[in-house]
Amino acid sequence: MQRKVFDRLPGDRVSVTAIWVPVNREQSWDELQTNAHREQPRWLTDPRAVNFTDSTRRAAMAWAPVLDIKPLYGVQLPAWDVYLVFGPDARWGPPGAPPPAPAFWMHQLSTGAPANSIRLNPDQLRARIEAMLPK
Amino acid sequence: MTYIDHDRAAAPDPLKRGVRIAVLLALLGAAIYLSLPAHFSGQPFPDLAANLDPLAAEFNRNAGKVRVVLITDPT
Repeated sequence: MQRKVFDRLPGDRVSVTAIWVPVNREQSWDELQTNAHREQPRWLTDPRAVNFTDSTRRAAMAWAPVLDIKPLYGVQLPAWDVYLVFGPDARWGPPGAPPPAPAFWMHQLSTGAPANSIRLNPDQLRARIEAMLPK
Repeated sequence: MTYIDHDRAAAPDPLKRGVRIAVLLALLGAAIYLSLPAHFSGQPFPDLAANLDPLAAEFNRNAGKVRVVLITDPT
């Protein structure tokens, strides 16, 4: 991700936010912090990146309906393993407002992804970001 | 005539027994260590458990840029 996408998009016209969320298995706050700090330098070394942990899946669950992530056996799945791209004009509403819808997104979900969603392709992701860069 | 001490031949070698015990103790220690909850002692990433306001503020702070938000599991 870093090499194929962000290294090829230098400059300050792009911001990068990583949200580390426990989905595959339960993780305590300590464990999640430890795991996120271990993986972040391996996966996302971008100096522009700002990192958050989402220990209660609040963000992942808030974005799930926005992205139309489907429930599994009646249980809403979180939005995770997703790569969301927002244009320069996007704004997040007042405190408590749901997160905004991305202009474009990709995923690596095995379950829950809507039919028209797009699986992650780093080259395509970079091209879409480049096309949205402010002049 | 060759005398064979059957009792001694059947007795475990004290050195091998010691090595076995040491290996077992090492495995037991490793299992206990790995089962202990991780204790994070660095500068933590901000957590969103209370609300999404810090994330929303970061998002809006970067208005005018293309913003990429990645949501991923670190395991």
